[in-house]
Amino acid sequence: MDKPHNALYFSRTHPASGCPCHLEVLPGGLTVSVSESSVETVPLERLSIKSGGFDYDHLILSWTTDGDERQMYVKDPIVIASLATLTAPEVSRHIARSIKDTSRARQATKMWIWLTMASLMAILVGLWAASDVLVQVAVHRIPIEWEHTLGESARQQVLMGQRVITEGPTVDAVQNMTKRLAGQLHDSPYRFRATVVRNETVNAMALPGGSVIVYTGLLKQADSPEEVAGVLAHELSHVVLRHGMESMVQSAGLMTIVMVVLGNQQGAIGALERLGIQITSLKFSRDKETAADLHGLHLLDEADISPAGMIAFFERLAKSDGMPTALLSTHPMSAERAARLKREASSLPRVSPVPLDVDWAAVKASL
Amino acid sequence: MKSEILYSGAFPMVRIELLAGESVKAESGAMVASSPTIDVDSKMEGGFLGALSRKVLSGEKFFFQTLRATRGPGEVLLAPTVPGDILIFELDGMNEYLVQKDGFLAGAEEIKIESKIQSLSRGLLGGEGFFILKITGKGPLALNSFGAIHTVTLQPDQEYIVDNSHLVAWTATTSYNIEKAAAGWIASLTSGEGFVCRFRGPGMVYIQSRNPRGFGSWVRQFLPTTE
Ligand SMILES: [Zn+2]
Repeated sequence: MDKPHNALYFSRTHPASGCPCHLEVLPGGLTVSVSESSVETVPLERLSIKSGGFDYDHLILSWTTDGDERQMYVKDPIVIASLATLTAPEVSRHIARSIKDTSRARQATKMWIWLTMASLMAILVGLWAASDVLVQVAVHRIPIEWEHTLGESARQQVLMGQRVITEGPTVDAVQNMTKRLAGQLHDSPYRFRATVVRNETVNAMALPGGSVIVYTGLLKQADSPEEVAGVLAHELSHVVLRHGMESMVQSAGLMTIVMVVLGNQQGAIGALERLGIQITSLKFSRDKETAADLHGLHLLDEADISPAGMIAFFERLAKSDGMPTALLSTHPMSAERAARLKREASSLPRVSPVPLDVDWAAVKASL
Repeated sequence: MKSEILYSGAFPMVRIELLAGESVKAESGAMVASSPTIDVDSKMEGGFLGALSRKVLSGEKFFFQTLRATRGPGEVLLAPTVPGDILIFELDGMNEYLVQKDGFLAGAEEIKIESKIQSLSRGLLGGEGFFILKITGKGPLALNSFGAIHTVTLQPDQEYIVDNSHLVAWTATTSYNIEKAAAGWIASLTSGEGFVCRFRGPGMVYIQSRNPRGFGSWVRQFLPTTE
């Protein structure tokens, strides 16, 4: 009868899947029986030993015979134990080290899993209470890198099938305004970048991480570059205030976000979509909209752009309720909203605004 | 237990013949048809917590059905969700297989299936998810792929680089690192950030000739967008 298999044998002349073989540990060395006819004896001093396998629970024994490298993968505890009891101090040291490596690797993994689980649990319990404050705390612990990852996927998602305008007066104008506003956000970790899309819908959006997308429909609707800058300021404020991440955490749960980002970067948005979250049509709460309005207003002020444009645009949208615009579906406009902006604007110290360096006539002509 | 692949190519099925009392593990949802003598017990592999951890952790409704010929001999037909090859081979009891979570179709009752967390750095960088299946034991195993399955054999210390999303399975005797793809490997718009696996032999790597994510993005561009 064949001896039971307890190891896998590899060499250049054997199949890449390895040959199940029987390994015997004797005081002088190893006896490897790959088949009845093929038995090899290897003196211990010729072996090099390290740990390996997916869970680092295998010993890998390698040696060279006639210039051909041979390897053996052993998991059998009896074989490992008999290797360890061998007297050759050289070998025992190797084994001791790889056994230590094994348990250390395993312990580190285990510890990491428990730590993650524990902290996720803690955060989940926190989210259960569903308080905005806890969401904010959680979101502020999410690395900015993750926002970039999610934002970049979202950007690709939004731009897929859209006609991106790559050059010309509209691109120059929107990038110029974005740069001027972003210039006021000195220590922001985000990379602001504007993209113009040829689409008749009145829409603009800011994605987590700092991507801003402006539809030509919005530029058509605007009467002055200051009005566009007002919308941009509002959208950039959503980014800086991390509203997109907060909403995603609120609707999907932090656990999901963690899983999505850690486990599935490539399909991050696909995964979120399957969970019913459309990152691009995230609706923010009224509080968040107000916060973005006010933050945006101050941003305009700091960039020396007249806030009158923002207010005028919001007032016009409030009146045109019923007009089919995507911006209105995510941003319900009300006279009250514009009025609040007006009050806030009047409390700002009067400085003379510096006009935007934008060829508005050329923008309008190119639409 | 006898198994046979029907209609091999893009839309294959597996027919498994069971003797009275025999059973087979199948990915839930894979069953197409069966003889009336076959009973389905959705026994959860690894006890309730095992199934729960697979379900929660691998982000998938992943527990197996055990299809058992309780009332006499019979046959079952199994098919994967996606178009592509089915590969059936015999586990030798020594090799351990790591299988990407969509790659498992069916296996003998004696094989053991565990969900595994890839090591921190691997999982963090890998696009194919944090969780994979480790399949061990002796008996037939059926894997399925999106597209055709191609087998790469690696001699000791031989290296090979595979796009992450084309991975189906690999043997545990290989070691691997996940690396960011160099430019040119992957079109960035459709697949987002690209990752590749650098495998080092000895061992086997099974890859699929189509990339589910790439295909998804390709389809998505034809779907009407909501404004
Ligand atoms: Zn808003």
